[in-house]
Amino acid sequence: MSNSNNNSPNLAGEDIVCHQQVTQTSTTSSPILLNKKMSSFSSNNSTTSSNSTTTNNSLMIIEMSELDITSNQKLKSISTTPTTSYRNDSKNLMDKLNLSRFWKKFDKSQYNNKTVILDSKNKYISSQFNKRNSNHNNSSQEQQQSYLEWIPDEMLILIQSFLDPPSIGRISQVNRRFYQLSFDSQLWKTSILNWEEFSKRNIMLMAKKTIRKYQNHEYPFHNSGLECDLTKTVPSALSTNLVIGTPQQSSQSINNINNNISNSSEANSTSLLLNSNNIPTINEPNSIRSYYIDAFIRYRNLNNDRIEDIKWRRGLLRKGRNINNSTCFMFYSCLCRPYEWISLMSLIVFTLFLTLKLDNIIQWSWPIIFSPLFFLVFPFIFGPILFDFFRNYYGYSFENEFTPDHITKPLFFSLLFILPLQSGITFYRFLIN
Amino acid sequence: MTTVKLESSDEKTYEVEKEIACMSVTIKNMLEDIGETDAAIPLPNVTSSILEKVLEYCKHHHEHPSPQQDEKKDEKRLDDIPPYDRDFCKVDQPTLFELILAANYLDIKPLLDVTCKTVANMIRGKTPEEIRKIFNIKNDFTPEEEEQIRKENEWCEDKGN
Repeated sequence: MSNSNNNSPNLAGEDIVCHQQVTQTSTTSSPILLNKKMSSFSSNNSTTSSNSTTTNNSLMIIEMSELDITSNQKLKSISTTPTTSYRNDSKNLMDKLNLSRFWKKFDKSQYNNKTVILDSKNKYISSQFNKRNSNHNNSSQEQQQSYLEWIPDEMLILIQSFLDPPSIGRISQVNRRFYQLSFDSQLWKTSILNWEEFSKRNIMLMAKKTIRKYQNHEYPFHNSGLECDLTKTVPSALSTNLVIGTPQQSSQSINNINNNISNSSEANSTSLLLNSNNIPTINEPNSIRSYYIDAFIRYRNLNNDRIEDIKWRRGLLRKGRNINNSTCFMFYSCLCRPYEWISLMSLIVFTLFLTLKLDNIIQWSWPIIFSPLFFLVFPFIFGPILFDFFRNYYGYSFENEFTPDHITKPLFFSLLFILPLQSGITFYRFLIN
Repeated sequence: MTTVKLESSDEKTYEVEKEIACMSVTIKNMLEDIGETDAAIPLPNVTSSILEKVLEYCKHHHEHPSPQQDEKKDEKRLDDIPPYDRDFCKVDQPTLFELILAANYLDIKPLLDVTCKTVANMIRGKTPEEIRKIFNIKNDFTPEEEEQIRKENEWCEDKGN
């Protein structure tokens, strides 16, 4: 922004290039005035000297040091030359005033040895400049103007349509103009759809390797949900809770949406708030804006839930993988059936003890004789105790292992206490998987 | 190779190849209407400096045509600006906005997209105060209005994208 501050280093080192479009006159950007002046100057010259259609004369390079020396003469020469150009006298007078003002300012700001490249003869923008310059003349205090004011509303909406909805919400707080622009319903629609597409891709990327289910999973609201919401805009479809969960649930919700859409579009299409036939809304723009915002917030929550879900599943898988690796050694060393192996050994030891005791070879007390049987009932006694202990003190919820759609691989509790008690085939299948 | 003469608002004429000039839909339509002519086409809304930049852009993209993506052209993404275009848009604000206006007037879709994306990238993720600072916009709300609008838009500040 070479024109916004006069102390910027790139100004100091380089040439000052002032386009005629640069209209800020606050600091040293007053070269426009020079620019304008020079345009009239050069037009005077060109009308007196030669025709103006040569290709090279539109750029004038003026050495500032020269101009400093001869500025007064040139001013005089301009004021004395008869005005034969297309500009009228009053404009020329204005130009002269501006130029003299410019020289004053220019002497103050010491940009002496700079080269100024000036575009000359710009009919199109000169009118705008005249307007702005007159404004500046009226208000003695010169203010910076925003370049965004050049841009018509349609362009601003086009720009905003690249943004995501929160950014649009933020930019609507900037200015009255932006606030009014933010009521454009098409803008919200494209923005939400874009955001939807983007977040969908992100989620697919996240879930790529970890959760196979999400790949086959049809994303419910881009194809059916949001499109329908925003084109047909069915409030009843919105009111159904799109809560993510199992694929069955979400497919149900798809069906719900579709049903709602078909029902409502057939039955009570007249009562819909927004209908494709019934274009809304100059009367109540607020409701439409808030409607789109509500839709966006709902989808965002949905999306966040989805991301949480993926993260949770990922963590679960990671945990399961670690436990699986660490127990591998145990499995192989225990001949793949740790608990059966233990219980068998305990039974053998118990019968041994019993026979020895009955033969009076050993004189132990009966509880010690029966103690090997304890290992048989070990899971049934210590399983619930450990269950409660882990849940209360470590917050590890074993319920996660039992919810049917999450069991990809069994975890700690089921490994120790559930699977060993089941038949060997189940256990074998688990190991194979 | 037929050439076309273009005349900017400050009466500079440029001679460009017809195919390059026809990247602009406006010029293309004009040429179809006029037919073969030697006269320069006047472009009263474009200054010479901007026209030079536009022609530079058109030339580059004529020589290096970008691979056409068939899938979903209507999708608007901010992060797919090719490197040349990103460098091309590294200009000061007035030039950038002039480029937007010129691209709109000349109806050059890729240029318009790229410049709009650049501006959108400047806006994205900024607070209103920062946006005002960047574009030098004056806040013309009264404090009560500002408070009300801020409350209306509180949802933007929620967590995550």
